[in-house]
Amino acid sequence: MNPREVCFLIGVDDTVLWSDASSSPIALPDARERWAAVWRLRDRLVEIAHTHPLGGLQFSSEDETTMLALDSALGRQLRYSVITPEGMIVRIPEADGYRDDSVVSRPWWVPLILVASGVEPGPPLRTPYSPATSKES
Amino acid sequence: MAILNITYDGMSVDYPRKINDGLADLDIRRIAVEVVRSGEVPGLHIAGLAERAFDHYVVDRLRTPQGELRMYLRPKVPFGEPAGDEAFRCVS
Repeated sequence: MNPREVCFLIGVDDTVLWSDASSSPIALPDARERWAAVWRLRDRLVEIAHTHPLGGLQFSSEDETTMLALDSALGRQLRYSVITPEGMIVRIPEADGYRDDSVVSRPWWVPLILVASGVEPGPPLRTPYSPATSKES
Repeated sequence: MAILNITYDGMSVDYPRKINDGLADLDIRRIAVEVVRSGEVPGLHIAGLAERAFDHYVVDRLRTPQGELRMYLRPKVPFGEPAGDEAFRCVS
């Protein structure tokens, strides 16, 4: 499968509420269906995640203006994330703006969105559900 | 003529007066700022709405089963990776 950008809408408890994919590795074009899903699921929506399968662990200028538009339409700040084969960054709403963080403990759905994007899912997860180390008995 | 629906600040509201269905997106965005500022959209009155509040919004034009044209002013939702920035500028 050729690399392609994929978008997940994430709800509480890291539930994947909805997804769609592009045919391009560098763009996820505007789609009324994506907006319709955001609006329909807005009460449960926590985060919008998308991939940059060719790399580029940062929000693009297109991402920035889309996030501005979405937050203004919804009347609240969402959480946003970008996932690449190398890592994950997340934009977290704060009282006076937001902050961007690198994510070390990836949510369970990250390998899934990477596979859907046509790239290797990366190393094993380090989440509370699959600890990297365990106590010796 | 068409009905204009505006989504902003957590609300999705129809402007009660029909507008010209031949208007360009730029004009619709400008009209939306004016009618939201003036309180002509029920439940969506923001006197201090920024001039460029809808700059990153697009207009969907859909026809109802009854043949009525509805125009939806809603946020754009594309994403793209930094390497694609130049490509976006070329096609916009």
